[in-house]
Amino acid sequence: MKNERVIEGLGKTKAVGMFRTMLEIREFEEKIRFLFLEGKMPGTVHQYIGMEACAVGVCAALEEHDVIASTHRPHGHAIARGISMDAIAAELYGRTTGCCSGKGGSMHVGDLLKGMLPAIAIVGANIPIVMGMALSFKIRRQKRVAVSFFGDGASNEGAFHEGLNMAAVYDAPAVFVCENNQYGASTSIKRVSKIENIADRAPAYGMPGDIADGMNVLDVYEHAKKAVDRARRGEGPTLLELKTFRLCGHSRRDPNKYMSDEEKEYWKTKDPIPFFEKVLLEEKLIKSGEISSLREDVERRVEKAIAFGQTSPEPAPEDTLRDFYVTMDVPD
Amino acid sequence: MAVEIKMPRLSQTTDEVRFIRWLVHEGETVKKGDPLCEVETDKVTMEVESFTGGRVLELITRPDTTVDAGTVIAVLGGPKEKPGKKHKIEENGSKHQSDKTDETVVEETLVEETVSGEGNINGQSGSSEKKTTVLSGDVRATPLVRNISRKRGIDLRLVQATGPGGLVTKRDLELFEKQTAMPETAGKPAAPAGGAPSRPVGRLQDVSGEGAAGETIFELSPSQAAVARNMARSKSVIPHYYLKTAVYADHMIEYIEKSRDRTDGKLSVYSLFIYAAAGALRAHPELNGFFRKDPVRAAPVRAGRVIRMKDIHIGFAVESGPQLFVPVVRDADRKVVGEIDREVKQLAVKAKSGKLEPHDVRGGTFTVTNLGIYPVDEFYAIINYPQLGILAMSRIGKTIFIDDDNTMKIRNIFTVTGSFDHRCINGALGAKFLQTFKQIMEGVKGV
Repeated sequence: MKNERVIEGLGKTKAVGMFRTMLEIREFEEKIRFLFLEGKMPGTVHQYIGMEACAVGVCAALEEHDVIASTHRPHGHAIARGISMDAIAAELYGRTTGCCSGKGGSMHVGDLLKGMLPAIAIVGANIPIVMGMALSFKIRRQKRVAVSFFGDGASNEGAFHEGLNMAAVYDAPAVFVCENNQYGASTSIKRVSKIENIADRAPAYGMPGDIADGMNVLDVYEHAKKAVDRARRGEGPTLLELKTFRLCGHSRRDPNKYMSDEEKEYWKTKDPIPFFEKVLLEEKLIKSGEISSLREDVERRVEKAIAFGQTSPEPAPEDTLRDFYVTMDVPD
Repeated sequence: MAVEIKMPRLSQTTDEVRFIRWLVHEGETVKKGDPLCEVETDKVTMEVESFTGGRVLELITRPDTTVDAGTVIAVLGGPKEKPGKKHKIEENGSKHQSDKTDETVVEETLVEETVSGEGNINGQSGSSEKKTTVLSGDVRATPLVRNISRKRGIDLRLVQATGPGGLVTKRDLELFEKQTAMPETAGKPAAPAGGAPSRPVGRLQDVSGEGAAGETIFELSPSQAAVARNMARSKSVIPHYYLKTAVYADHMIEYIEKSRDRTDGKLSVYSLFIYAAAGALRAHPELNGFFRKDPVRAAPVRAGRVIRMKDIHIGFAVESGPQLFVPVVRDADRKVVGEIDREVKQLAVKAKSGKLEPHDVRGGTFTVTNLGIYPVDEFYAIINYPQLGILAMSRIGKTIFIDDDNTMKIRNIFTVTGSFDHRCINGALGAKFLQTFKQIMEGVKGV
């Protein structure tokens, strides 16, 4: 019943668009996974498989001029924020056409002009930065919101405390989205936190703490919308916890043996993509034929992005010295 | 069309994995994403999934072998292709390595399999020497390896480390156990594991097929790859400084000429060089040993430690075509020149013919190098990591020499240059060492 109501608010086009973005993230990550096994993907990658509803649900609640900040696991956030998969793939391959001119790589994808700070791979490190961005929006009287994505592991970092406290003190228009995927690398959150919900910490900072089902994009969207709207109205930040799970290793080289088989099986049944597909079919917003053509289209699109990345030019040696100092107008 | 399955790069710290077992059989059909085999990296045991679907035509890698990332481990094909036959591989020019080693070897220089670590130039790790004064806790090893060594009562200091940064791996432990169980095989190089052509052993491999027109590309042999890593590491990690001095050589030349009548023949300059370096090290034991940075988790107040070695084992650089070897004269300070000379000649012959054994190159505590047969007036050598210094000797030539009594004489001199690690050897210490070396060399008639 609740899903119906949210879908009604979103409208058909936007709902189907969100589904497509989730498919894009999944397909992109799967493709990368196999390229890695084939030895054709350099470096390591941290993948977003299983968590698609989080990025897509939150980003659907944002306006064009809002800003997000991501982590070492940023591909999903970048795609959800609308950075082209071409530019992301090229960045992974270190090519000049990448969203950071090939100098950032997997853990730093982002594009400030598209509303995403190049991702910050240090755990918890984007929280104070997002607080600062939100504060600057407030001081400049802009109706913009800054969103920080971080994991359960980051919630025990000192930066979490500093960032959330200061954001609350100044009523900064920020949303702190904790994607609680249950594991900080290989460490279960249950081993390092005595409380059940990370959101329960919010009252201690004087801000609301909210929890959404991170495997249901509609639930994520509804709760994110509430937090974003509150921030935009100038009422201050929210700590939004999304209960989710990564259906893959921490990084490409992680066989995630620290997760029990029962746990993995349980979360697999909650895979956000089949779930949303079922809702869309039930609500008759899409036909199964359309879904297969949508999937095929997404596959083609991802193939094209990878090919673009692989064939784009490598930076020239003299490019090394570029981008250290940039003279530019700071985008509003 | 058949597709080659290559070993992915599964560890951030090493390209090598230990292949444990296959999870599929030849003839079996696998789907994209199915696990193919089980491997052990330096950190964890894990499954490797297939990046493509198809019928397993050939399983190349044998269980219980070491495999480098990028090595072809299996061949997959369409449902109609039969296992065991010659397969047409999709990618042009990328034949199996097993074919390659037979066809396009350009130079055969034997290198021992075991010479592959990152200890020093010869691949050994200084900390594995029996007489160091460090505790077992200072050896770099993973918790897994520490656990096993504790359970089986193995002193990690005695184990030859081949992992990155002198890390003792599980394989090193196993090898050590095998060697101690069968003393007659100790010191012999390990046979190439399982007969699988996982890596070319001891050869400069012509891989030109991969290059553009006009390029001839050679792959480094494992031992030379170890040299390459060691050199790069030394030059980027150790803050080198250089001291040079001119050494008066007339007495030495005389002495060498006189030695012509010995039964063993004329002494080599290199032998005298080693003799003098050993004498100088005995006088300045501060330079005989290693500098190690503490592992990250060690006590934060310490930036590193100097390990001073009691015994003086001097390595000397020998070239063999493009390859560099550093055989070691053990206990050089306790040997007379004639004894050193005999060993130097034997080791040099072994090096040139590619017959050095692991014990010939192991355990050096200091290194010397000599380009005296070439018109090189002076040069600055790279320290043999993690040693503390190296001496470089240039050619002997005539020059106008002003003696202490202000008279000019024509004399034979050569320049010796010392490179030292400024983290623990200060300038004065290096200078004093050089001074002693010079005195011994110049007074060589009294040897």
